[in-house]
Amino acid sequence: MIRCLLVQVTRNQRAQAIRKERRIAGDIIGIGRASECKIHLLDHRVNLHHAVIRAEDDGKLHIEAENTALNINDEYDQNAELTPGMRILIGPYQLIVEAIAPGHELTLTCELIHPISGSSEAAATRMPTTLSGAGLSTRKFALWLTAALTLAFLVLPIAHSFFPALNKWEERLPVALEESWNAGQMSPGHRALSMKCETCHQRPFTPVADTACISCHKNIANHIKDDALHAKVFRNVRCAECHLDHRGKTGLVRHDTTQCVACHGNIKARHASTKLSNIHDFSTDHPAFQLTVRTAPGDSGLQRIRQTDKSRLIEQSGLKFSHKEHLDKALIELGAPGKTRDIQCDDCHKMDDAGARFKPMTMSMTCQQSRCHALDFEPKVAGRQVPHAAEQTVMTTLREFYASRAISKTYADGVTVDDLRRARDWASAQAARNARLLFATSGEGTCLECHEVSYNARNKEVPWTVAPVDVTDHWLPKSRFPHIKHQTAKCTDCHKVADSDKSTDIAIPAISKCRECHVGSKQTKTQVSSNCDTCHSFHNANAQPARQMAKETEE
Amino acid sequence: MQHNTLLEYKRYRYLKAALLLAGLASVAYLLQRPPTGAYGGTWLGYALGTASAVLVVLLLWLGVRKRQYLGPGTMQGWLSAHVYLGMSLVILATLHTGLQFGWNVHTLSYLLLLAVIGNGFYGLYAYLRFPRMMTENLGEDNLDSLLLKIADLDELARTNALQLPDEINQIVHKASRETRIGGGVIEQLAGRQPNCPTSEAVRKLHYLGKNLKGAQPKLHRELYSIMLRREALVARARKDIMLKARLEFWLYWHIPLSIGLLVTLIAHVTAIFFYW
Repeated sequence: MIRCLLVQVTRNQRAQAIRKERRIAGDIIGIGRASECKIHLLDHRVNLHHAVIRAEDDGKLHIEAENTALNINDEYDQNAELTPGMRILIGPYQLIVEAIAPGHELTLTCELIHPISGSSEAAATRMPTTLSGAGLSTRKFALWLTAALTLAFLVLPIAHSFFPALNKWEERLPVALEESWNAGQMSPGHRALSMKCETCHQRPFTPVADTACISCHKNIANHIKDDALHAKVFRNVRCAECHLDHRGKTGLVRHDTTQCVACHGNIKARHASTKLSNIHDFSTDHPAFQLTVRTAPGDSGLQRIRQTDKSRLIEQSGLKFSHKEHLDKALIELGAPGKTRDIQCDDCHKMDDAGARFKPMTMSMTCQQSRCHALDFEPKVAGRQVPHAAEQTVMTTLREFYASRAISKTYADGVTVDDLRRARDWASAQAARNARLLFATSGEGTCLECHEVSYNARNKEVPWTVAPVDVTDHWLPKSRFPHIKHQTAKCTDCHKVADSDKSTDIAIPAISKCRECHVGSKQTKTQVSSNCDTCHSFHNANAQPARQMAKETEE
Repeated sequence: MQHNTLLEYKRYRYLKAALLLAGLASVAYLLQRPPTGAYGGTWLGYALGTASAVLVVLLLWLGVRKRQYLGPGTMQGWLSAHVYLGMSLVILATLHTGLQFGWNVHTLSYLLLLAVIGNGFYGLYAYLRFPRMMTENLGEDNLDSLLLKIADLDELARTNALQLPDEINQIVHKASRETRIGGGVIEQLAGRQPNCPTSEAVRKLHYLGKNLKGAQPKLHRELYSIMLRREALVARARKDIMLKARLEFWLYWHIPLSIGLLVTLIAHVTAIFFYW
């Protein structure tokens, strides 16, 4: 039997201890929440059966944990002998072993030292129940976002513009400061400037000035040849109205007809003196083509004539030529000697490297590419030809040839003056006779076959003059027509030359032929849409209406 | 009801205005075939851009108007206009872009605009749906009364558990200490606690009821019923917090993103005219 004096200690408001004694007795003294425990501690932090005090065989009192180890004098133990001064924690309670009171085996004080505080209970359940309570703030978020966006998209791009010193620092960055302001990818030609906004945008809040464009594009041609008129007509038109950049794949050049038709749709009202027609679209009111035609020798002979003006449409090239004759003869000796085949357009008309037009035709490269137009003059010496050159050169060649012949026929020994005179006379006579045959006789291999030749007896040295040849090589110098893009058609689809037997015939197709495929600016599924700039260039004031003179320079 | 008057305000006055605006813009866009291709720099592009910018300012002005006690128009009218004109702005701004996009501040402001409006759509949905759900969930209660009831039940449960085995006492104690109602942003929005100690207690109590002696089975039955009630109350409290959080959460984005949109819009307009 253990008799125990249990002193329950509570504290008043001044923290002074109030002791309340109670006597308990039993073979063992249980400590716990359960009602059968002698030391009944009603707190959920105490186990139902927390510990037990029992007497050992030697009569000493021990405390023994039921489950978990006990905190005894700040150390954990399952079992310990009770000695005065010992402190044992049971949940929130502290038991202290005191000096044994008379008539008892044990004296214990018991004090609740960790009461449940109201605030700690509340903390368990009262968590934030609103988003602002959980720390969200629209104002903070908005401020940070505003600061970041302002810095990145306003301050830095503007700083780039005003402080050129930043450029060096900026070069080391992966992204340029003003990159975010770039409205779109630049055209390929300008892409190198995409980090140098100020090259074009020279002044803030001012549209890009033409001077910025012209500082690089120095040689760009005007639209109108007359500089004063150009300046007057385009005084309010900026380059950028047609050339919009930052458009990515759309490109820098406007291809639509709006701007063109804005003037040319009613150009007669704008400029009463103009010779141009009003035009809205290729398919509707584009006038007949105007060809550059040589109507007579000299500068004034080069005229622009509409295709509808058929009576004037006669080319005076100075050349005698029949397409019909060439195509009818049909055979041309090319490649291996003796092998012939039908003549083809491209045997003579060779496309230039750009695929736009054709290389100039020459006697040697075109007419003499086979032996078609060999200039033989002496049947006894096969293949001996005069050069296709100036009259004087031809004459010199003949004289030299026959002089040489005469000398080779004269005996080397015992030559008399008479012999030499005879030889000279013979050579002169032969040269004159053959010159006459070449210059003044018609037939194959003579000048008259292709040229007009005039005779002037007063010119003793060479009395014949061959008329100059000036074959047109650009009929429509104010437009472009890439032949290479039209190779799906045969030459004769457009150029009707099969029955042409005169060089005065002009075989440039009329606009109606183009319109069979090209329908102007409207979009259709079956035909080709073509805007003004399909054929015309805007900056074409320098386009030369004259053409290259087809002169031979074989000498 | 409140939300109906918001949408039906003055016989759909602002719905009509928004439809008219969007309709006119769309017809103009379809009729106009700009030779340069559609983009913000055509005359229609500038017109649509100006209209969109004015609308953005008007929509943002709601924030100013709602802080004024007296101001032009009724608050309900402003809100109705805000909703419908905001919707029409999607069409106006999209047409203004001409569908030309890039990695720049111009596209960023368009994306922010879409984000704000898309977020606003959610807000409208939330305002139309959640308040009724909240009322249905709370009934006669409010969140504070629910929390008080839960605290009362806790007290009862703890007292009850004192006479029950340690295992039961522990789970009841844990349920009372560790059940979280509310908490962080994600917890509030989710409206649930993973492995909720209260639900766990209810589940465990069910099979811990065996092998009890004396008065314990009766106490256990009472405790079980207390914990079931606690679980229901916790669920309702959490649902209330969740609905409130979901009702408000979009605004924590809507307002800052609107301000961000205003900044990028200013940058957009500045950039266009700075580098004209």
